[in-house]
Amino acid sequence: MGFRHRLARTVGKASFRLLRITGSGATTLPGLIATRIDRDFVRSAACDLKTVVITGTNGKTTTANQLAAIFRAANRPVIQNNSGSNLLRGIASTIIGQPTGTWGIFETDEADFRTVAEQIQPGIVIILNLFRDQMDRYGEINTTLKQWRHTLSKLPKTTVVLNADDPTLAELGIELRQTGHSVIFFGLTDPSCQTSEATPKAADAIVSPVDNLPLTYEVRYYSHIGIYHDSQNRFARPKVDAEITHVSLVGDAAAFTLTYQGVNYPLKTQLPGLYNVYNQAVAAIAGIIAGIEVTTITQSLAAFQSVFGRYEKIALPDGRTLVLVLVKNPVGYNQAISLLTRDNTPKTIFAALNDKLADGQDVSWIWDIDLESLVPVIDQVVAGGRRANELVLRFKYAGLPPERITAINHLATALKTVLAASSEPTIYCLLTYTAMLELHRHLADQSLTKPFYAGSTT
Amino acid sequence: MTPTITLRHLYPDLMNIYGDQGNIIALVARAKWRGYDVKVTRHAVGDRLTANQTDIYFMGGGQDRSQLLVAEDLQAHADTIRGDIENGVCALLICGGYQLFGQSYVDTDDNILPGIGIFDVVTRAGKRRMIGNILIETVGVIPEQPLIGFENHGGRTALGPKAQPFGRVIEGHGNNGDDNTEGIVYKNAIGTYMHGSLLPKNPILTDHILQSAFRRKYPDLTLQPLDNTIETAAFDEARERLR
Repeated sequence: MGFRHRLARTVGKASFRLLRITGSGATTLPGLIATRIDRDFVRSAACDLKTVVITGTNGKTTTANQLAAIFRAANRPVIQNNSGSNLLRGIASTIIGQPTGTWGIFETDEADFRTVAEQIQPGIVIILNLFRDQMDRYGEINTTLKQWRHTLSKLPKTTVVLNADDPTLAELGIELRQTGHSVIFFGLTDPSCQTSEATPKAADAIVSPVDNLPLTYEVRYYSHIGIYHDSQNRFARPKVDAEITHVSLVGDAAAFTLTYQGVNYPLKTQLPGLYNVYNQAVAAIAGIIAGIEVTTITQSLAAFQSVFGRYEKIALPDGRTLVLVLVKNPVGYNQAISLLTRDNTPKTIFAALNDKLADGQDVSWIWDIDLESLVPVIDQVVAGGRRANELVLRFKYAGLPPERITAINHLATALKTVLAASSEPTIYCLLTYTAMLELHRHLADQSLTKPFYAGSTT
Repeated sequence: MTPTITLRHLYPDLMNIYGDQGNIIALVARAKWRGYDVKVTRHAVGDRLTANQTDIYFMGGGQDRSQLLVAEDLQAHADTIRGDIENGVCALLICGGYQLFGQSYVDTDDNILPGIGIFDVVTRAGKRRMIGNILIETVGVIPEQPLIGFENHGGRTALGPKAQPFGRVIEGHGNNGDDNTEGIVYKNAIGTYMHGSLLPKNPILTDHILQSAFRRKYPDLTLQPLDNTIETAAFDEARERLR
């Protein structure tokens, strides 16, 4: 390693200590300093690691945390960035802050994948799904697809693990195979998981790459995820290498079978929802590829608890529970709704909508949510955040009587209001990204949770 | 019998990327709250389209890939739709829908994608996208009404010499970022780059479209006013973003 790299690491480390002493999170500044001193800081540091890079619209953090848990259970030291720092400088900070590890697990958002993957040159890339999300920032789905294709074409030695049930990723994988990449397709084969919706919800306009016509779904699980083919069967869901079957979703838990390389793995998880079955399965696949023992993987999956803001339960001193659900895009929101509508008990909802850069400044996506399905189980809603009134408007047009909705922009005040107004034992909090951070900070100030940076990477 | 009109949603599977559904939700809800019915009919690629069967046409924005396919199918129905619009049928075309109702769309390689020529506009692909909150004041359709939305488009649209803009840009980019115009109005058809969604936060426009559509079919029907407190609060909150 060169002088610049050592200098970058030393200065970065010093700033890291200083920030920790002053009680700051130190999630990006040390990395920013290090990458300023040595532009290829991450590239040189990552040389010493076996690396997995995880991207996609939904499920990155859960999958990365699950995979890290598997590695740790197998006594393999891991360094891992947290979701708040998935840009290159955040990853550089991670490397400075946790310098020992043989494996690096890095999640990165759709747009930063290019920079991160070019620097890290990952051994394994996992792409979970691709839904419309923050179009003011990422652009349309095909823009992201083009960028991923370009980046991966320059990484011929990388093993790419892709969701075959997402047509855009299937298209990408089929192309990558033609250029000699090692591609592992995973997918769900279980018609009992089919959605009961008559018309698909928040489905993107996914067309066949062959004739640009809409695809036909034999089975649709949610949004545009399912088993599909085009009009003349020239493009269809590829044959999967790792197959999920026999899914049973019970309460906040799930069980399923994963079949990979001729072996059946019966797996259990404590995470709710079909989308988490995909996340858990792909973490298991990466664990198997890394040569970790089956029992370690099974036990780790069964023990894994939900992470920061992903159906996270927080106990309040008065005995009530806050359930925090991060909702960043229509598909994620609809999944939260499907969890909340599993029973008919009337619920108190605390919903917050921010329009900061990290949330997306364009809030029109809330009109794509199937909020109408949530209305029958709502007792009352308090809306918070910078666009609380937009959210109230959405609830009104979804059919909720205006007298059962309150808007308060200031988040802490809004929380106080909902706690005073509701007598329900559980309050469901549906929050966009920066609203989630803000609420967590507020709860940490009251010693109800750990600070954000202490939460996910220990 | 409940007064009922038909809204034809053009290519809902392919042209739906910026919360366009919100516009349909608003039209249906505000009719329903007054005891009237808006029947939504979906028109997909390959479907038949008959003249005089539609009271409101609606089309949203799509991805580039979808837009090609839609442009082709739309050509087959150009005469039908043009005839209806000439007869005073209402239409709201947003983003890609607006562009395809124009004369043509010229991409970065100078390929020309023909539109159906109902609006006298030509759109050229631009390098930088025009993204952000937008505030306009209407000029033709309703007098001097402020409307708020969000725009996200790469295309620069130029109005023909006689074309009437939908509004004057107060904050944001509008048709092309140069001439301060936003959208177009032709008879009862509106083309615009504003999503957000446009109609829920701008109930005056929603009611204007509903009133025009119902009155064509039921000449004595006058929409009663509704309580717009929540709509106004959402409008004001969005407007704060521009300050």
